[in-house]
Amino acid sequence: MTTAVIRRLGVGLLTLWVVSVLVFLIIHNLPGDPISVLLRQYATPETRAALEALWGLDKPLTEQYLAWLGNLLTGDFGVSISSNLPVGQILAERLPRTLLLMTGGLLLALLVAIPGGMLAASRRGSAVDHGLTTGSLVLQAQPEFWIGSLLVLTFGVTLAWFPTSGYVDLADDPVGWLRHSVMPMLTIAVVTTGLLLRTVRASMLTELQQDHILLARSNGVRPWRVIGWHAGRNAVAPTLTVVGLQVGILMSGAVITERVFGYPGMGLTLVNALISRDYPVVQSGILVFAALFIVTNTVVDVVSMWLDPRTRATLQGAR
Amino acid sequence: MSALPRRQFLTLAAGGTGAAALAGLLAACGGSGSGTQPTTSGSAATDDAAGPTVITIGNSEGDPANLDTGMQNTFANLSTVGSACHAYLLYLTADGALEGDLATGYEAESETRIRFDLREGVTFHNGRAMTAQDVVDSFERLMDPESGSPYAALLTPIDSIEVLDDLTVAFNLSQPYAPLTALCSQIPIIPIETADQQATAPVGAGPFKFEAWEQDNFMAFTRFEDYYDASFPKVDEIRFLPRGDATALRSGFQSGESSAIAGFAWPEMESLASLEGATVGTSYINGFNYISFNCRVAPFDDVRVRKAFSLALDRTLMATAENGPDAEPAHVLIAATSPYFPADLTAPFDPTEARALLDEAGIPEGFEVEALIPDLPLLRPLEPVWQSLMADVGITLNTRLLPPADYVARVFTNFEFSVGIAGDSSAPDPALFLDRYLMTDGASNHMGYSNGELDEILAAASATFDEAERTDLYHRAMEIVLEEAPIMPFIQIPVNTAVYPEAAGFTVRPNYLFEVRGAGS
Repeated sequence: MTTAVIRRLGVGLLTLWVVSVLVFLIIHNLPGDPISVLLRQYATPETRAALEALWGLDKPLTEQYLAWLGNLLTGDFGVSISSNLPVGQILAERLPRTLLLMTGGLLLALLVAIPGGMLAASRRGSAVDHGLTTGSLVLQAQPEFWIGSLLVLTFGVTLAWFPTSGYVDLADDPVGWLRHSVMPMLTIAVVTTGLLLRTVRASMLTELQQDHILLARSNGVRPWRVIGWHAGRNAVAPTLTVVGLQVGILMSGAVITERVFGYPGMGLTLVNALISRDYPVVQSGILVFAALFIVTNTVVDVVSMWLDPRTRATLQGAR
Repeated sequence: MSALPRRQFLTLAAGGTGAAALAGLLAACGGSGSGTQPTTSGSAATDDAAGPTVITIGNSEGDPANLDTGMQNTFANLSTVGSACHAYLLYLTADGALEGDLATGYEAESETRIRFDLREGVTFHNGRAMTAQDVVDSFERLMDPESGSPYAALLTPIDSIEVLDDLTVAFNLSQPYAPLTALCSQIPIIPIETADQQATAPVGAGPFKFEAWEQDNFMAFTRFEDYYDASFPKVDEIRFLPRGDATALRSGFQSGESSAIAGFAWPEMESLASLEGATVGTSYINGFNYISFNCRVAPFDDVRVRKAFSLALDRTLMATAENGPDAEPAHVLIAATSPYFPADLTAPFDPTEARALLDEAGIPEGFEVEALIPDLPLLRPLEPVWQSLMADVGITLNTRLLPPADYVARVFTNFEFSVGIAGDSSAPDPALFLDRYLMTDGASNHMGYSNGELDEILAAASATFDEAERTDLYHRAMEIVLEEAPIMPFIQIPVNTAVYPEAAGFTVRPNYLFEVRGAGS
């Protein structure tokens, strides 16, 4: 087990390094550069040269990459070209907001998807099953900007229950924070629920065919216990894997959701940084997202191993 | 289908009721549909004696990355920090007139020396009194090309700035430079000891004092009690909400979170105007959306082809596509509010003549060309209209919408284009736009256009303070530009605004600074 985890972490680090190279190369080879964005039609050769020297953009790409990587290894993410703020400070401020948004949205989605999926599987072929699976398909097909706009119009403009955009810090005003976060979280939840519900349903259907379920039923175990415990426990593992993979989708979704709701999280920061070609922010931001994705999936895999005795046994056998 | 057991039903019902109650509670906790930031309970000005008056402005330009308006003169900077926090030697009114601001007046002592008399009793937000030395320091900070300031290139004619006494300063110029006074409405005067903090916590002498900035969320300013004109500002606090997303901008106004918004597309005007108390309008800034050619490459190195393009361009239709049926087309690169505006010059729309010119240029069957457009909401509707107009004379436009950063790099840095649409603005003196774009060595001359006669005319116009002489020179310059068509404006850049009564007086000035000190009256 430990070997498997260490191996996964090693692969994760290697992946991160590859991501760092790719992100660096891609962003530096995109058309446009921070000086063009900053000076626009006012750029003169003198000013351009001065800014290139100031930001080290006059050095060869390899040298720039190695300098960035070297600083990164010491915990220095660099300084934002646009704002002059340390990138570490920007990440520390913005990332938790996006993580809270994603976690909240995911929890809301799971809250609906797990019981919904179990219910659909336990009533396979019934109207409830058809209703839930069709509903989940419809939800899955909705783009974030559309759901977000509908929520804004309904609950922000028409009913005026929630602010249409903006952000309040959780530490300053928890209720205010919740009021500003409900609609973005709901948006994420709506588009995530569909896939999760269908995954839970499919896993449950597989589990409900297993011998131990038939045995449990024949032993007179109550139906809710059979579904919720005997089958449900094993069905969680594949769902968790999908949740892990969903993190990547949630991150990209956060970019759109944050823009629609004017929510100043990591997604909005990355979009703005990309527009202004703020290399240090884009590079570090994407690297942190990649690290999160890798860590989440590693954790999910480890938890799945523990939850599923068959995987655990296989791994122990392999060791 | 089995019936839902009573117990499960009750559990579900309790859960549903709980969720609805939580939503209601959250809604109730926040007051009446507002509360965008912690200290603001409702964006509208509260006229009762109990609380301060606050107005919030939703800004389509989004948030600036850096609050130093001397170092980054983007619309996002100028419209927020530049409008609320800073004062300038001269003040550009919404009508385009230059009035005294920190200077009470100025005089050209000679063609190369301009003296400014400063206002007495001006205090910066940090409590220090303004002196003539602050004017020197504020300009010198931006004059050095190594500073990276976009103003550096525009300030090169300044040789030195001289302190004559505490309240008098003189600009010594290396050559006569008429546009200096217009620039003086956009260069912020700051206490130089705060230069390092301008990017994050700006200090100036404007009507509002910087209070807080949470990037991409809000920017807050409070009334500066020691502002030199006691009749301003009209409200206690002003907040700017960056709303780059069109839905967020509009819904913020519809819900009342924003007292005013600026920069929405014209099709929204009707629905916003129907909101109770709302008034909508359009301000035109001192800048243009234009079509420009790469005159270095065929077929646009041939003036006949450029002229054919110009004749095929229905400017009224282009202006309508950009900002609705009331939009006025532009024909020349001088703002209609400028005293130098040549009202008699227009670019004709004549597709028949355009086809004849293409015939004369040896391409009677027309041609196909890639046309670049920055992917901006205001410019997107132009794509099909422009294509149709050109198709009418046999020119096939393969249009490409590019992210603005890519556009700037391709067109303005690398000159990798044939023809494109773009927009730009400047402080309100024709020289600040025309010299940059049309002089052979102009910083914004991406067209590669060169005309010795035009260079001389523009240089002469910049070098004289005589209004009549400048009017004649600019008239002649515009005739040449219409004739040679390296660049074709079709509309002055419009900014649509919607305002509730609590922010009455809010508007957009021609240099894209918002009128905020008189807002809320």
